[in-house]
Amino acid sequence: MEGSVFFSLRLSLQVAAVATVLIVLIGTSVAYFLARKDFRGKELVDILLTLPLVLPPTVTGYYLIWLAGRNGLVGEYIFHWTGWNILFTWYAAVLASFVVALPLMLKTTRAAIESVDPNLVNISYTLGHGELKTFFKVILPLSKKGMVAGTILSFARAMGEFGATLMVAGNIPGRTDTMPIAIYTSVSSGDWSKANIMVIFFTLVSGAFLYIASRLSKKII
Amino acid sequence: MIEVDIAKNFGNFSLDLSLHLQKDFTVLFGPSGSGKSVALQTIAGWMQPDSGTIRVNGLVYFDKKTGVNLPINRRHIGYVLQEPSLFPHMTLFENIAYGASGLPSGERKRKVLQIIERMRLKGLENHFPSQISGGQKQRGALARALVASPLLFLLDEPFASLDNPVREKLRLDLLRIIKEDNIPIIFVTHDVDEAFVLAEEMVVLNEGRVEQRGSKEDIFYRPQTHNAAKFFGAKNIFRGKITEIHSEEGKMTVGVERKAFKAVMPYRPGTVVGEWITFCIRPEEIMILKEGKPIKANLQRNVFTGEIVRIVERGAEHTLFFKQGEDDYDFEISLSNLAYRSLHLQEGDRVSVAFKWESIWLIPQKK
Repeated sequence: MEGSVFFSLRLSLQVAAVATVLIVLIGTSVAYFLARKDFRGKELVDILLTLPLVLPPTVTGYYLIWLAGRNGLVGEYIFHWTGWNILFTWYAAVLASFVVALPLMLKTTRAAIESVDPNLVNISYTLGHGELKTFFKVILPLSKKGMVAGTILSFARAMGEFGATLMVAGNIPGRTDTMPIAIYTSVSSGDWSKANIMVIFFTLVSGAFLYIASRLSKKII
Repeated sequence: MIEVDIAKNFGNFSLDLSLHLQKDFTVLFGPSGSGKSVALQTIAGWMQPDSGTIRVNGLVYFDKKTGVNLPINRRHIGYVLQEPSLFPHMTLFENIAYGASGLPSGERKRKVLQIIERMRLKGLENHFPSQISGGQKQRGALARALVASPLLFLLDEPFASLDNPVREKLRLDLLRIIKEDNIPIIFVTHDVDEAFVLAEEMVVLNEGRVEQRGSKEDIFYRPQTHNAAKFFGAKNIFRGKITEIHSEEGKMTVGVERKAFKAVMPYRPGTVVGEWITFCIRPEEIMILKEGKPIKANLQRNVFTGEIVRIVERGAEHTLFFKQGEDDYDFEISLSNLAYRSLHLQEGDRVSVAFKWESIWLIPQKK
């Protein structure tokens, strides 16, 4: 019993960590473009990427199967070339967590970047610096707190991801049963003591994350 | 040499600008909303014109026809704004050093320290912008722009939010530095005094268009449009019809529209009786005559008697409103405090006023 709790905990942390790294890299880049560039369909991109925040997780999971499944839009090609499919692996849990938690990063980071005085950005360019240097030396330091808050929120959300994960990664003991899924399994099989440990642990960790995130986001204003 | 020929449409406002600047210090003057700041932003590349060309020292910054649009970071411009724009997360030293990147670190440090010394910022190197005064922030912003050795300085009302003594000091520092470094400057202001102190060449903007350009004396004393005259405080601007011409005496008489007086002025060849003209007299060119004293010959042509309706104290001077007819007032007269005190005037006093006819400036008619 203990062993499977630790497995689920380790898997949850692993999934959330990998998803968060991707979210920080991709989310920050996308948020930068949404905040600073004008292009056709900009708000459409924002809406599409934010949808998982409000959609039922099963709907998000359904779309992911439709995209990444063996006969999916993208999954079909991957299967054809490699014989591998992401569904029912822990990578699928990463994918689900990534898609569901990304909007939290996008929203906070876009707002943080938009709140940077555009004159400061233009002054940096005028002083001879390119876009990349301006991003790292001016935009990033001035929107850092919002980004860190977004990262923590995303991590917490990724850790807690259940619905979409269940649909794309399934509930395979010792392989894809992240902590939220393990809790579901414990409760449905009447293993209350195991469920209690995990629920208390989860509540404490998520509460701590929210506390840190709210302290940081207050400071950016 | 700075050549700007651009147009940009903002829907409710359009900019149609043609600037060809030879002098080192050009003041772009105009009321709020005249397009001064937008003009600087297009030169710096912060904003893209709809059409036209921008060239600085022969280098093409923008050319709609050939599709050239030099990126902001390759325009080598020093830009200082009204609101302090130091990076809040960097110390003063780091801010200035940010303008000097690309140099070997030893030389960079030396250059930054030298600028800090010249801009009288010594001792503040490790302070953050939030820890220094408004004047020091603007010195820092100037230093940061200067250390990058720009081809051109664009200063957008850099001293407007500072108080007077600090502003005057900074103006003098700026003039000193320009002499030393010889970098051309376009300086935006809506402050007449500032424009007059700084300008070698002046461009008056109004509603996105050049109203007049020239030396400051040209614009101050010889405004080419009604608006230019108004912006520079000509105050007494009248429209009138030529009623008599005595070309052999070189004079003509103009009956002023809606006023009960006529003014005598030098004959302008080419004008005819019945023609409408616009002229102005600066308020400091009108004199109040002391009673009993003989009137000097050059004042005799334009003498008016009437009433002082209002006196307004304005720091170093007094403004008097004089009327002789039915209107609220006919002339605005500006007297130095010294002259004002010697006259012992009160509102309601009857006085005679006069001006030399050379003080009358005929504003050319628009074609």
